Amino acid sequence: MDRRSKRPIMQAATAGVAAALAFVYGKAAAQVVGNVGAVTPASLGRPPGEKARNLVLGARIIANELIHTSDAGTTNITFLDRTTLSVGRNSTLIIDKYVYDPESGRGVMTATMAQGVMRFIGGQISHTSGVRVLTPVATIGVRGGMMTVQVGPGGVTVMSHYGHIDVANAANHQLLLRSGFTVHVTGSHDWIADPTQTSLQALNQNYRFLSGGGHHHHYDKELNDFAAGHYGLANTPLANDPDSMPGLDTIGTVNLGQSFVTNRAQQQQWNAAQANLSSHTPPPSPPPPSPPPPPPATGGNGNGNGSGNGSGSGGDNGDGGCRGDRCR
Amino acid sequence: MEPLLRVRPPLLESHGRLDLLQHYKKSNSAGLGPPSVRGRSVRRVLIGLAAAGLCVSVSFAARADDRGRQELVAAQARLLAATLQAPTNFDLAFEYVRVSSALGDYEAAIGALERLLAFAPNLARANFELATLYFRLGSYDNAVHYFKAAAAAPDLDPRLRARLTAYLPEAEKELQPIRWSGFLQTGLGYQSNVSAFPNSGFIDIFGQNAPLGSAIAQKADGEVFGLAKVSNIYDFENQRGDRIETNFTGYGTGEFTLHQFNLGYAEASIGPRLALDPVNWPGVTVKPYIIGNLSWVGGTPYLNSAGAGVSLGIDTARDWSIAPDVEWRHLSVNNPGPVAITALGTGSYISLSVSGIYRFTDQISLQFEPIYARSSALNDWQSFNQGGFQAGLPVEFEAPFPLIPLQWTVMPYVSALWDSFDAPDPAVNPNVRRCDFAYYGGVMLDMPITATFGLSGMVQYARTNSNLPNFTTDDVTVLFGPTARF
Repeated sequence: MDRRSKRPIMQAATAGVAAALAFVYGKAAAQVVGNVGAVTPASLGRPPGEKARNLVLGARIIANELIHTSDAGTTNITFLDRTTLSVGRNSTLIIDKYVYDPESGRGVMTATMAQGVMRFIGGQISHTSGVRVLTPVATIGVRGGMMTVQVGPGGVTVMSHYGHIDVANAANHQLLLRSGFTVHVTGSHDWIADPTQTSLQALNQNYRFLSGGGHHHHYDKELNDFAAGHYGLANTPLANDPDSMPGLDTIGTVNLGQSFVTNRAQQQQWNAAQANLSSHTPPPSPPPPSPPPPPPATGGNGNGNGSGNGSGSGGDNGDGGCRGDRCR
Repeated sequence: MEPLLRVRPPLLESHGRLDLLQHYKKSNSAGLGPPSVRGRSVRRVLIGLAAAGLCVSVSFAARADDRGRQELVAAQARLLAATLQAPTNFDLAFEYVRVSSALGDYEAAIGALERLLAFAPNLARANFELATLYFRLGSYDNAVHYFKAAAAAPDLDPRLRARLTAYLPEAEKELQPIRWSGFLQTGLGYQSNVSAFPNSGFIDIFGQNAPLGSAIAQKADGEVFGLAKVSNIYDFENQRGDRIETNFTGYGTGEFTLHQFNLGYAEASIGPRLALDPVNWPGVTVKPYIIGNLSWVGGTPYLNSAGAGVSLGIDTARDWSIAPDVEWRHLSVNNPGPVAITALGTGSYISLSVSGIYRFTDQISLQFEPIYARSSALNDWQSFNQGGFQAGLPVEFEAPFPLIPLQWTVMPYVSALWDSFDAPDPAVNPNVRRCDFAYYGGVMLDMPITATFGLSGMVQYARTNSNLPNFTTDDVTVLFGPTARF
């Protein structure tokens, strides 16, 4: 099925989700689930049973509130459990269900996204019970994670940033266990292909959708680098990469090398003392005979013993040299 | 899932347990045979007291840490409630970021910072902080995005811009399926007892004390040295995180006068690191590997080995990880003489070890590795059981000059090993079965100057107490020189 033929299906699915949203929001009770933490103009909220309103900074978000942004609007919602949703331009979503018990840290969160771009940063609920995001073509389960979801006419794209994310539709499901990977779902009955690495281009494009693009000059006084520095922002450096640093392993290598030299030196000391003793006193009784040579290496050692066998021969030659010395 | 912290597995994989065999050197200062029973008892009591002290300290530290954490959790909840009511109170927002980061709740800190960027997208420090937070979570593509945003800000603090020169390439490297890392060093060194001369001045030979001739004496020497460790990761790019890890270690010394003790050492290992059950046990991996080494002393082969091992990586927590390992090797040793008298004879060598890291903070960690090993040489007197440990306490700290991009590291370290041989060596003393106690301790200092180049050095004292004078030695080592890393 090509993309053009899928578009009507996608539109129908989107309309269906929107109708479901309208049905749900009309039935729910008013329950505050979070607040608007940042907003640019032309972002609307529509609490259940009420008229649409312009979302403003600090506005309370009600369970089942429909959130819609225009092509210039973005909004950021902080939830009671520390979950953060950044809603990009031209986006529509509803918080279907949000229950959170701060005492136990457990709760339930379900959202439906009809169109647009959303960045989800999981809070306490996603770390305990998990969060579900419904889209026209797939259901996304998030556990302890962060992701960006893009819903458009071509399907749904899910970028994993952290945690476990399960993307499922009627055909199959794909688990995103690593950050930096993307799953794309073209239709609710289309096979979901294996995750692929997220391209930086696609990531940057989503950032553009999520950015309001505006600079709020009236906040410059409070929001500047001096203030950020005052609060220690960016003061904590990253830990050094141990693979590129010396450590116990390099210390071990130095000491191993020294032990090899020591062994050779101690053998030479004994050889010299024995030669010295032999030249002054009758030779002592000879040492016991050497045990038989070792059995050949087993096949289980495989190719790894290639060099080992080679060096084993070297060792045998060395022993031969020892016998030769004694004969002399 | 990638580890939460960027402690990739130097301790989570074997680089060859032979490195714990370094105790066959240096002799005790008295050199008068076995240490007294009283001395042993005192030493055991002191070690026991030290261990008990460490346990008590760790217990107190853990309790204090728990109290501090509870206070931070309460502060975070208060600040969240306050910022929900007053989203433009940026003092509260900054404090919320600080507290969340201190708690290790990087997601909460990221959420708050991305909200702040909605007001001021070009806030350089916020972009930089977001990049490092994403880096800590292993989300390297987002880290690259925010590092680049920070770099584009004209008012980025010069100190942070310097760090960018190291961090951005590191984040970009993590996005590659084939990744190389390495540390190279060369420089000058000094050893007080290169010739491993026993302090007593004599050795046992066929049960008799034999003075060492004037031709052999304790000799200090200077050296030029080179050290390399290079690792490669081939990432299969599947969701399990499976990959092939290849490690190479090389070390060589050239003595200024005692050329017979020039050393060459090369070791390589390769094996796949496979996730056991990434859904239910994320961070638990198993790595079968093959390993081998070649070495030369004085230009002639000394000890070559080949073998295999299995390492289990358990990296499930933010502040600790452990890696049990079992390894077998066949050793081929060439040590010319009428009779082989030293440890490490041709035969097999099996080691069991557990590498562990406990991270007190991002900058301070404790690395600890207990080990048991069995060397089964062809000769009984070269076969032994070995037990002991090595430990290090790397502490990263800010370089004294603000434009140095990476942290400097000082690492005090210590190692102790006990060895019990199977049988007396008739060529040394037919009545004494060799027992050794070897330890070393020192300090290593690593000083990166740029993202690639720097300086590093170490000072170490090593000592082996043996019940045979031949093997009781001590030595001081100093190494210093320029480094390169990638």
